[in-house]
Amino acid sequence: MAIGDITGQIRILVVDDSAFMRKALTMMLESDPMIKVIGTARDGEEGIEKVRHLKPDLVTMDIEMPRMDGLAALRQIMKTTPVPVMMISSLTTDGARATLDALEMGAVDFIP
Amino acid sequence: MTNELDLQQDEMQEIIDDFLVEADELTTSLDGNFVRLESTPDDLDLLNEIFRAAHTIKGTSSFLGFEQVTSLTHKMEDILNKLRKSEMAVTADVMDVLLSALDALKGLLDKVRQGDLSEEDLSEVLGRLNAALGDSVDDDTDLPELPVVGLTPETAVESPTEPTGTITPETVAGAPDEKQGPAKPAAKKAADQTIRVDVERLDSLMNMVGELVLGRNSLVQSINRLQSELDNDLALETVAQSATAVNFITTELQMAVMKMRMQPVGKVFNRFPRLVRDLARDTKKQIELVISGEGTELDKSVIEEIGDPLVHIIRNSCDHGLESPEERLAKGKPAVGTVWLQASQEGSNIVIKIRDDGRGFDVDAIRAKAVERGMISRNEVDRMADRDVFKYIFAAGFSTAKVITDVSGRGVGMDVVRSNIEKLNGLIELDSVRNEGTSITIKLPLTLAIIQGLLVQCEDEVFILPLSSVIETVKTEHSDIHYVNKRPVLCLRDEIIPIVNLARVLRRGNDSFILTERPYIVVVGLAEKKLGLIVDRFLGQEEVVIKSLGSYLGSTEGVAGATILGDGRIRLIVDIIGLFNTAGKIR
Repeated sequence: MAIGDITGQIRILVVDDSAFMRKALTMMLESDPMIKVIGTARDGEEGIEKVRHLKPDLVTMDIEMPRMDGLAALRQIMKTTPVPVMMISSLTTDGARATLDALEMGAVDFIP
Repeated sequence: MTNELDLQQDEMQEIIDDFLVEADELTTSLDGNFVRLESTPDDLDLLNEIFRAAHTIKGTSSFLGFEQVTSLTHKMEDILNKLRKSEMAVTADVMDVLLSALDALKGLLDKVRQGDLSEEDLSEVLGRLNAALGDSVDDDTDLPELPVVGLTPETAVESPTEPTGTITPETVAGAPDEKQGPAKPAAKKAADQTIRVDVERLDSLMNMVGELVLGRNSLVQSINRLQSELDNDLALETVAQSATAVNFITTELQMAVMKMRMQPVGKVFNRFPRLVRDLARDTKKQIELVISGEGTELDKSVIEEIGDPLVHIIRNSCDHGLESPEERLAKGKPAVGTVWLQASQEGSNIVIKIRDDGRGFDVDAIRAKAVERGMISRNEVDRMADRDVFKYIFAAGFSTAKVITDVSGRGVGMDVVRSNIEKLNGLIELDSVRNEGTSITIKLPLTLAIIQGLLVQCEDEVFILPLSSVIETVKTEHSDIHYVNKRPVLCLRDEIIPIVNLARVLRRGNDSFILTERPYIVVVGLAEKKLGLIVDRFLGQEEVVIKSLGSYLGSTEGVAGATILGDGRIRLIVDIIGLFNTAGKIR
């Protein structure tokens, strides 16, 4: 799968349980004309489903989420429909651990 | 990563507004969840939900550079993280610290809302949080908090020069709430299709729909009149067909707008667990609050008004109604007092019931007080049923009377509660059994703006009765009318219903009337009471938009408002509660 759609834009799926973060991230990402946010999901489960459905070029993933957290979703995505995933999370005391876990599982980058 | 974004001021303001809406939702859910956590400290799902709420506020606030909010929620999050990993126990002290941190957080959010960027002194609450975290050093080695992506604090500081204003956009009713943890699979799809809408827009939409309903009524009526005048006019038939479509769509539109304004009453109920917890601590009582039916939906305007009266009633129940644990045990009651708060829908009404198992009212003390204040004679009051005697509690100034506060311990301002409820066209009832408890029932209309009305004619005047209060209409035989104590009653299927002449009651005239051979009677109901209204004719049913009569008309008891009918004439809408009161006085 080539990166970008016909228009050459990078198609991104934003996964975050905060409506505010979904909107803010979308606004920021789309301020770059090369980027298009094609969908948002509010927890890991929905994220997995939308990855399968929308086939984004890149996924941004929060860690703390209800139902299924970002790490579990990441593991699942890497197993079934591998796609670059960027973990986005503010640090917790366990932040470092989570970063390592995520990178180990195949996340491409980690924005604290 | 700084200043990547060149955000316009209004865009920035919008982002801050969004942040505040979400933060408010989360703090409200924290309020309730903290209290729940105290009673179920082992509920890991609950702990996770609480943790996520604090975490989200921390993340989003750091994103916008509200550093004080971030550092406060960061500490809260540290404690919550320890709690959910069982490194710390959920104790009353820990909860106190968390709750005071939550209060401080709300204060900070209010400052953000007002565009006040000055620093608040958080040293006390942060100190308490640190103390609760104990001597564990690892929080000091914590990495400094970084904004998630580069929106610098300066951006946030520069832009919001004007206050955010007081209008808080609300979540559109019916949409799944962000703060609710596990969503049902069905609700999942809808999640991303939720938008937040400014309440002012909804209000003006509602207003316009109201005007549209009036216009529609007038259109339909004109066409009906023309149809009876012009027979088989082809052009008119075409217009009539279009009117039918307009009619149908208007009704749909009205329903849709009304649904948009509906919100679950849980929005109000959410804050009560915290209220009750604090009251219990202050009064050294043990109180359990049992809430049910929080999903029941009400019009937004009703939701806004119902909060204060409920706070008042619940506070009274906890403060004065429930006894101290010792007193309760001495009476053979469980030490823990219970307050029940339940909401349910009955027809086109919402019923909210607040019940406690406390000491109840001393009905004889109320009787004595009513006589002392010259509200009623001793003789009369002794003949009154207890239930009716309790009504005096709602009289202005009555409840502040010292005797009542001493004897029954019931607090101030039930008349304020009553007037609040009346403003909503609601009904309030109180019942109490000595030493068993008190229950207060509030009935509210689902919506205030548009009602289904029954048009009746009575003595050359057309009145509108709210259809929701009409139980049935009967065309009766003269022989069904009997007299009890010289007052007319209707015998309807073994039930005795007092009857009055509608126009006479509203005009405060004497109630003598001549019955026609086969009188028409509308039976209306209010709570457990029924009343038969004699009318001359039934004219039909119409959707009416209630317009307030304003205050300059003075006493308008028995009249809820006015409306413009399809024929362009102004008609009065009967206020059933007022009608019962007036009828009661005449009888």
